Amino acid sequence: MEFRDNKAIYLQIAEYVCEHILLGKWKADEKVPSVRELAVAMEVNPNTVMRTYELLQNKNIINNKRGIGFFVDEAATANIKSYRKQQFIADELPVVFRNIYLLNIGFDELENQYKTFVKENFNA
Amino acid sequence: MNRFGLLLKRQWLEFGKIYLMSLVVLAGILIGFYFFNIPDFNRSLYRWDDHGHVQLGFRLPTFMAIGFLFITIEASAYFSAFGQKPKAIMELMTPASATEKFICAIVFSTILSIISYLLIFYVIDAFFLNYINELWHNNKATNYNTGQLTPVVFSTLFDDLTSEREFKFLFALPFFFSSIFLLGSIYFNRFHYIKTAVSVTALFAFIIFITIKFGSWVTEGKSRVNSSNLMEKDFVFTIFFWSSVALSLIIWLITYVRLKEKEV
Amino acid sequence: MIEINNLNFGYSKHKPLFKNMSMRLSNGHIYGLLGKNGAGKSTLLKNLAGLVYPQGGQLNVMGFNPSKRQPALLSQICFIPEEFYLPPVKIDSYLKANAPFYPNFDHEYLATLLKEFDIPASNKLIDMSYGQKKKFIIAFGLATQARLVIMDEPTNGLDIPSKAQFRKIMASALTDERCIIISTHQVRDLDNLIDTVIMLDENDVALKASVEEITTKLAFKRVKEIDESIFYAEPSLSGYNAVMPNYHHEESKLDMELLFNAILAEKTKFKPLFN
Repeated sequence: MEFRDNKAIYLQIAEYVCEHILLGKWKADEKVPSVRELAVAMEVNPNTVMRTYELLQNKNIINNKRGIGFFVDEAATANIKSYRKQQFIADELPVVFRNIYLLNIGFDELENQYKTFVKENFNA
Repeated sequence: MNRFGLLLKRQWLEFGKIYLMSLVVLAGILIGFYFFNIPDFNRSLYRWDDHGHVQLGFRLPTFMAIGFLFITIEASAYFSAFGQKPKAIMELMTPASATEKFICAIVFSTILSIISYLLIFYVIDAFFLNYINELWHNNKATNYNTGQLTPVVFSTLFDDLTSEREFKFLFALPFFFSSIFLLGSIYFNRFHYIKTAVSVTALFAFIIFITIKFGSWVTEGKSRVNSSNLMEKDFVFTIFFWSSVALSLIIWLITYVRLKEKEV
Repeated sequence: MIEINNLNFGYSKHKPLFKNMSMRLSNGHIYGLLGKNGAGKSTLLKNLAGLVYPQGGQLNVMGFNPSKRQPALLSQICFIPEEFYLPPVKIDSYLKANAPFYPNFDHEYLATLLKEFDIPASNKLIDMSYGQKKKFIIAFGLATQARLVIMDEPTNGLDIPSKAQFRKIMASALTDERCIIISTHQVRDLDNLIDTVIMLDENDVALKASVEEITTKLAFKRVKEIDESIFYAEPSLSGYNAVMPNYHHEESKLDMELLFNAILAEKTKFKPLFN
């Protein structure tokens, strides 16, 4: 996996895991790769993956069955969404807001843009 | 002990091929020497020994000269790996104690090379003797010791080595020279053989010079008493023998310490 | 695992390399040893392996003094030097000669590693390229199951696919019982593998901190302009790559090369943060 420059590796791995769960590649109650397996796949230090798994555990996205390994939590999808929402609001929204403010973009215009975007990309 | 066995095996697997090759070279050189020294039957100058055998004039000098070269070259090659950092690291990191590595060095560089030299020399010599004794077996010549016409039978290597009673005092010398060149091989990082040879020659020259100076100073103004007393002669030779033994042991000890303290 | 107390060492009297250096290393980590040329990275590793002897201070490696070169310790150390030597024999006979010295040697694991590294087990060591030989001694060293793994510039001479294989292998080689120390110039090859950075400078340890600790205390960012809060910055395509104290609890990615240059340039600014 190609890591980006700007974000801690353990968070990038967390995103990777969440992505797999959201896309349904790893399903609820299924085992996720062990710390070592994922470390080998990502070519990173196992301690880094351990940190990722601890974070995901805290967010109730995966859970640890003692002696067996880590499993996808039943409510993983919902928890990922709320975790991501949190992150989006904390990290990315301020940048967007800043640009909206600087470029003087009105909320009406924003709403229209948003609706077109959804229509084009998700046919909703 | 088990580990020492492993170490012997490791060193053999690593250096055995080169070692065997050196034995082949040695055998080749010896065969060459013998080949060019097949005695001419018509030459009537035989050297008779006390047992009524004819001595091969070239044998002892060849035995000693090539023996010296072979034993010292083998000894000076053993620790040559320590002169190159990458090799030295591999040797030092091998999980065996310095004592084991040292004894292994003695086994390969000294004991094995002396034994294999004796063996190879003896075998080649024996074949050769067989051949020329067969060739000469109907011929007789006058033994100047007895004045009688005697069948020409050549002496063996063993006969030659025991022909002079003083020879037995020299038997520690191969160990002595081997120990010097083994030390040289761990002491110097490159050109072990030349450097050891030069420094040993220089050291001996210095010691001989000092001895002569000291001797002439001690004996100044005194007259020489001729003594052919065997006891006295033996005493000097015994001192010579034991000091060569003691020196070999001391040099081995220095080599051991050197090995223990080797850094790369 | 390793305790270094007041280590003093120098190749000559006038030029000490380490002055009263102290450090503790524990198992379960991959330590990245960084430093300028001549800062003493290789020398520190040699001290730990007992290849050179300290001139002062104590070394304790798994309860042993490495200077004594006891076989029990040597069989627990895997030392991969930058320049190495392999005898001109087949892999098979190399193993016969050397593997039995390691009581826990794992032949199956070795076979897996060689497969991963694309080295046929029937190869003769002399016919292999430098990179293949290097991969072989790394595989052999790891298969000894030594608890202390010391590697001096292991990625030197490895091609790009081999570097990736190397990272995978090292990621799988780290266990809770093992301590891995890797010295390197090519930080980019290994930066995701290292969990604790050790930087040598001016006869001592200039920094020893886990990646987590570093990124908690420092932020690595691209900025448009330099201001006073920034410890150190290097110009880049779009502004500057900067190191600054992590006031806003940002979770940035450690840029080891930047950190390295920053500490060399602004040692005093970092000192109070890491102690």
